Amino acid sequence: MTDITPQLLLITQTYKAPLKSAYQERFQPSEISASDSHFMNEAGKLHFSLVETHKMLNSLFKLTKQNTLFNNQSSRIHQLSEQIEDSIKVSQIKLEEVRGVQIGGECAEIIKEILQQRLLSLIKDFQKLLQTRTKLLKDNKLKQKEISSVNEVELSRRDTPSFLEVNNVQEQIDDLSELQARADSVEQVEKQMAEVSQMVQRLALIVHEQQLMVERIDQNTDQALLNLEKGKQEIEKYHQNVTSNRNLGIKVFMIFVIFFVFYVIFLV
Amino acid sequence: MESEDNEIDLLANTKLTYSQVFDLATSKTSDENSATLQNQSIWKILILDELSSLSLTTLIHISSLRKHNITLYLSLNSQREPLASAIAIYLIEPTEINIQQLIRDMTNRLYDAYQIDFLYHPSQEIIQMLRKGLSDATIRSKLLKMCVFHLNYIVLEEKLFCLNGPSFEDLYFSSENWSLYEKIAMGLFSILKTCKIRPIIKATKGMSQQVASSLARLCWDDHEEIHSLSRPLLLIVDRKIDFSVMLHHPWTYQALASDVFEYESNKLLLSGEPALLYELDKTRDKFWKLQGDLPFNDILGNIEQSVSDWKEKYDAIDKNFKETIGDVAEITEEKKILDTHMSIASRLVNEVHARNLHNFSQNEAYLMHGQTPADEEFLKNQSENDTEEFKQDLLRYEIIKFLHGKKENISEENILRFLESTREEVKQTTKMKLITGLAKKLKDNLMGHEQWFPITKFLYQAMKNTGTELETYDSMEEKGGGYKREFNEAILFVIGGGSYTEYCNLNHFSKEFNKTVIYGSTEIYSPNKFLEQLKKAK
Repeated sequence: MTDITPQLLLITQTYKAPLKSAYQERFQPSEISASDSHFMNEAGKLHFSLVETHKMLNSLFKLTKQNTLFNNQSSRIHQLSEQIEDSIKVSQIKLEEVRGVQIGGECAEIIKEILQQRLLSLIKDFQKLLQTRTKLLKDNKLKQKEISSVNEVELSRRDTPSFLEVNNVQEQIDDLSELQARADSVEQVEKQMAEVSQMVQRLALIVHEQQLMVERIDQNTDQALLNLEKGKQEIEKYHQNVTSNRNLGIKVFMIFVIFFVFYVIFLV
Repeated sequence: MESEDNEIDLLANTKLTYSQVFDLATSKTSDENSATLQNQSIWKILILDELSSLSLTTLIHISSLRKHNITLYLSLNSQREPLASAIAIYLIEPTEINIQQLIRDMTNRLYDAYQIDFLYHPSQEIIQMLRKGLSDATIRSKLLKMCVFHLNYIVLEEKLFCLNGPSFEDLYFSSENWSLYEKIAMGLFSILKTCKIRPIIKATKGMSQQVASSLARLCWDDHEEIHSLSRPLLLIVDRKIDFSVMLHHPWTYQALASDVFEYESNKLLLSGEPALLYELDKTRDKFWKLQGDLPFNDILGNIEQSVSDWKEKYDAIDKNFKETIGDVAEITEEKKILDTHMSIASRLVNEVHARNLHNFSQNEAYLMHGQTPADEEFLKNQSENDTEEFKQDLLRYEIIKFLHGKKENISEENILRFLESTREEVKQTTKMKLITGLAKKLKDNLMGHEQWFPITKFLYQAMKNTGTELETYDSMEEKGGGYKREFNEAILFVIGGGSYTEYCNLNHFSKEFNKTVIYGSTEIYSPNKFLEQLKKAK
């Protein structure tokens, strides 16, 4: 790829200056396109927020995978997850608004479809995240059980309790708060799972994902091609009809002639 | 010297370039006017001319356009409505007519912002024209970017491309050819640019030599850094090397389908009642990819086999529904593909039977490999057949016969001579009976008959570096050497037209000898289309 813009416009400085002014001029659109512009802007904003949320989701994914027993970031995960959920909810409301805008033109319709698609894939990714989180939480629980049981065994073996007991109490307190945190997480995940699956169902109704995946860009010409082929067949049929009618006509005419000859020769 | 992973990946590289085109206007890293980018619309529309839409249609689906926020895609020459708040991406050839249309659009303020992408480098005159057109400041201000890409070719399959002309007729029957050679060289240059390779170019004498030398010059003038160490062979030959293959009645599945039906831009149109249109895409359709090169008689059995395999899978789903629920979409897709091939194959069987294509194919194969045809009995039975198709089939056969020295001249009379004795009516039996019966018959006749076509042999010798001495051009200015070694990767380019028959033969070759071969031509013709081209000779 070669950028030839500068080469073409020669002087870059005078090129920059009018760009902005013309841009403002452009955003004072004529009456016809005022609603169009508004719609496009709104759609653009929504798109932007969807992209941002998706970025957030990706970082949450990373965080969740790093989050182990020894590197606990539950509170951050919790917070981020709430944020994403809120953002998804807001986006959903916005999408309804955008979808509600009555505006002609294929372009607007496609923009609506794109936004729906983006939101759906965002929600689906969020669903995936929640699933991994549930799995990780379960795994951690199991691991912790193992570790604590090992601890107990070791503790019971030793008979010098004085110092260790204090430590143990501390540990138990830690355990308790952690248990609480985990319970919170589990609750949050379950709640979010339920909500998300509802959203997916609702959205899936309006998005025709599969079909678009494979649609070629010359699809609309295909129909024309098929129609042409059909037309050709119709004409052929018609032609056959006509020729067979003509044959019939000739036959009938011949019979008349024969009768006439018969009449002339024998009856007159 | 070369590693395995250095394969020339034309398809993937081209797709990548297209996504570059689509993202250019909104990519943040790009440059000085990022301030304006922020409050600028992200919605784009795509405006295509003939070449770019042909090139896109086999590669890019609507879903991928939407991933790049492209809403509409319109033809440059169609009546277009003005559209506010959208960036218009023009992907066009830099021709005079296109530029005029572009300037007209800009003066009429059709869109808010423009990104212009040319499919190849515009000439000096065109640049002057653009400068003049853009002299009006208000028009100019709307131009976001103007870029030159190298995309003036059409990728049909992973290993198959064409340049969308010039036609055989223009190349062989007209006198003013220099500009055509330049055009071909430009197309090939684009392919090298996209794949980022600098091959060793070898060419036969005449036309190919001209193209090769202009191509080498284009490469020398280009200063982009090429990192790939691999230096494949680019073999340029012209159609003279073998005409018969262009008219030959093919017997492999894909080639046969493209001969009997209309096959363009990977779409197969089955005429007849009812007319059907199938989009065949080897990236999704495994059957087409794996079996397209097999003899047609094998295909029939293989479809049956695949269907029964599919049924097994389907029954398995019922048993443990919960686990396989994700595969359901995949399995329905698979069934759809098999249904497609069922329908194509059954129509093909009827056509083969009605037109005696197996006999034509076999006899021609004998002729082309220097043997006498087995029997021409089938022609005698056809003498009352005066359908357009039969005449064409016969003409093709006659020409091949002529080319291989078994016939002194070809004329209409010679063809008419066959139309004497009576014709037997072909009794239609049920479809399945027909399929199996025919398959058996064909197997006996055609097994082990596949042989290499002249072009395949020629390529083999060039890759092995044996046989005829070829003109060599180095695409690198400081000569790299290594011209006499054995090559593992090659691009074979035929000036004047290519065919699916030849393509299939090359695929067999590359599989058998474990080589990578990409096949390209100025145009890919079906045998009948090529016949039309020949008829234009004076």
